[in-house]
Amino acid sequence: MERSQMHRQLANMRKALFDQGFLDEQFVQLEELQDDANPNFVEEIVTLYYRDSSRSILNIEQALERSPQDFTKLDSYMHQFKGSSSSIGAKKVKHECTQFREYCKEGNGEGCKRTFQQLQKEYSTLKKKLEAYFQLARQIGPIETATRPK
Amino acid sequence: MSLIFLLFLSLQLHLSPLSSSSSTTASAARHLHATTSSCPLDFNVLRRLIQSSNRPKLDSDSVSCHYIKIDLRLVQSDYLRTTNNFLPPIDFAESCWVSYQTLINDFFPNFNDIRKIYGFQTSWIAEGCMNITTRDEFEGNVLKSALDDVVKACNQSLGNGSPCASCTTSLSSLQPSNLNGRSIGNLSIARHTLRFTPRRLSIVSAQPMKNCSVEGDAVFVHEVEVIASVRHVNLVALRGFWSMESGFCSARTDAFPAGLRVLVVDDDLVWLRILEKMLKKCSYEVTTCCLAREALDLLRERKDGFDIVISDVNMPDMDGFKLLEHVGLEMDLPVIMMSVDGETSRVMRGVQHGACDYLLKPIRMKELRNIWQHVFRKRIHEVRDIENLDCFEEIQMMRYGTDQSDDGHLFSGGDLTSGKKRKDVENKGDDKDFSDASSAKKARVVWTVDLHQKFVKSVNQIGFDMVLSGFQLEGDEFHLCLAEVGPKKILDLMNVPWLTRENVASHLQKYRLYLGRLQKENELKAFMGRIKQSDLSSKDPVGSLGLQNSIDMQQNDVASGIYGVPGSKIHVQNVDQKIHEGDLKGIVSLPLTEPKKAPIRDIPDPPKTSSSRVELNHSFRPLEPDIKYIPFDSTIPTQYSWSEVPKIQFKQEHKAHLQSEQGFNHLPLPPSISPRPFNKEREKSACVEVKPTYANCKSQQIRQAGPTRSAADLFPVQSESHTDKFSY
Repeated sequence: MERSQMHRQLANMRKALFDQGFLDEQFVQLEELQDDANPNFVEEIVTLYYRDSSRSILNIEQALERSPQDFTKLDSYMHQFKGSSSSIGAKKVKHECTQFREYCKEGNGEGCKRTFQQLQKEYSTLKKKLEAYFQLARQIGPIETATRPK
Repeated sequence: MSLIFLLFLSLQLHLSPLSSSSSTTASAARHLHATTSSCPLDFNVLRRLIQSSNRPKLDSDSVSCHYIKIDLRLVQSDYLRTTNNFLPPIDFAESCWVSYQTLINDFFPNFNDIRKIYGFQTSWIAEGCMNITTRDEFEGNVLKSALDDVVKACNQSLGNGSPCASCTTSLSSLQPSNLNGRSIGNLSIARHTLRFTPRRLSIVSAQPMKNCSVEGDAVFVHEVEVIASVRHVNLVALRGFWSMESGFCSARTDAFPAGLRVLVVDDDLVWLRILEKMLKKCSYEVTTCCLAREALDLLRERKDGFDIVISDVNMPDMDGFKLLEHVGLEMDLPVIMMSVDGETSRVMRGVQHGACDYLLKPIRMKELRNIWQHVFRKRIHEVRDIENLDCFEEIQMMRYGTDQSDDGHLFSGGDLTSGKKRKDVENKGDDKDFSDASSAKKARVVWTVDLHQKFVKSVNQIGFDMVLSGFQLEGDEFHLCLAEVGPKKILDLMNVPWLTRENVASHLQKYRLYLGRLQKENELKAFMGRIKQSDLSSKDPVGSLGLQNSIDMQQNDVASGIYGVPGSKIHVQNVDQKIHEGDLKGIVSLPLTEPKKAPIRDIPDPPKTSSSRVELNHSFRPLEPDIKYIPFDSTIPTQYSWSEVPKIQFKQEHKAHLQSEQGFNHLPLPPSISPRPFNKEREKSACVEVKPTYANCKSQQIRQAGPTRSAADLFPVQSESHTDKFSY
């Protein structure tokens, strides 16, 4: 059946996100919070994350361009961004955050810039992947909840 | 003005010539009341208490509300005692409120419609939570053995070590095993019942108190009755406490921990949303807030509005640690910190600032589900505090409420010296001896007023030495210095042989927290431009900040009932009684405060200051910061309160007395009780609503940082940068 195929596809997408290290168990936590009161809770949170964190990204970008670089400020921005990223379980992004902060501590501006580029890459890759995932989930989602015996 | 003021007034009656006229009015009213009301509750019980009890003067709504609850509970408990019914029939609810209002107005004519003021529902006075209406029903719900245990634990001689503690302990163990209904409140009524169930037992246990008592002896029976009614107050207070937490003023039913009121503060909107959802799933009542300052304002406004605070460490407008400090010290709420950083130093800092927990992001729901334990832990401590106060009230009742008993008639040993004298003034000397004796007896240190006073003197002395030797210390630095100078030196200065360095160290830590809070208040004062006490700075030739600090310390000390040296002198002069040598002996005099100035500064302060503390803690605790120290220790010797609290009382009485002589000219305003002009606005702000919309939240941030600064805003500079950061 097509529906079960889509289900399988969705499950595979989800699994891949974990297997490839894009997401960690925080994402599962979000899924568990999803209930009748908030049936699209995970998507809501992810959307909120991308809307909210774009500002942090911008802040960091601007701070990196400044010279001399204010590592304290950079670190504090990144700390905030890391906090946000931890909320959706964006594992790879978080990893780059940690790396970035290491470089801040060392005062390594080049390292920071390099890491930030990598971070942005991971950030948008995850965004695309999640968008695709939620799109598919939306397509089959309502049917799934309707057919689930409860 | 508040109800409490009125209650407090009654104690002044003992001292003032007004006394006779007032009590005549009261008895006339009582008469009238008895003939007109159909309410089955006997509010005269309360009347007697009001006339005999020395309650601290507390000017705040939350405290008044609390006392109203206590009052009603007392009356209900009396009803239970006499009728075996927990509550009057619902039909009488209205008339009972009227009766109570009548009583209140006898003492406080302009205190109209308490129901409206505090939001009590009419039916509440006749409604319970657990569907238990009679004593029999209650006893039917509890295992016989459990009941027996409680009866045994609760029916003890007051002369025993800690009758209140053993009673409440046995009661709390009763609750989970036997009553798994919704209410704790009703259980407390139940507690009361238990105490009164076998009056015979009560008599038997009271026997040792009177060496040669014979059952049937009319006087003795009367005494027992007095004891019973006094114990009553205890339980009522306890019960009042439990329901107080659940907020009867907001008419909330308690199903602890469900409904736990949590305030979440995080500038990260994503986390704010997740935490909100998680906490709601735990059946907690969640309020979210994206600004630390906003949170602080909210907490100050709705003093009884929250049980626990969860706050992020890094926030743009205010350091989370700062918020933590404010909340911990001002509101005395448990605070959980959270951060994505797990660095030991940061966690340590959180704990040092008083965080009860430190959660690392990503936070799991199971961690949040468990947070009620912090609230519960605090409640246990508070029950103990109240218990101490209760025992104190017992003494008060003994002293004033017993018509027939001669001085100290009920007390066999020298244990309850304070009960021996009817007039407070006469007590001073004895009192002192007693508190020393009781603290010396214990292996564990009880910080009595005297001991604490010595401690403070030593600390101040050290502080002053530092100033003299050229240090000009400010705020934290001063405190830091205190810590470094260390307990050793304080110990040496205190010169109390049985005290150990550890005792002093732990006490110093608590004291520093306390000072920290006071200092914050002073900062606030400065910012609000409300320092009207220019006399201090202008007359002060030195005027260094370090010195200023010491003075504040001294002043606050006095304010909180631990009178300083000048204070004692005043008492001695005015009272013209025995000088309590211990108070002055071995204490290095403090040149900081000139004795002449002292009365002016000291006297108007205390009621205000203590009231503000009460207001924040919404419990009896504020009577005296020392009481606070009790729960930190593992066990509570009841003697402590017996010796300690009445003494504080005396101080307050004297102060009140003096106050009436000197007028209110010098009444300074402590910052924390001043009304906040932006309350209304805040109420409406989306950021503090239970469900904020994020757009509003952001605009809120900007508004906050804008030019219309609130008066309490401590950190204008930081928030400027914050504006920069958050505006688009």
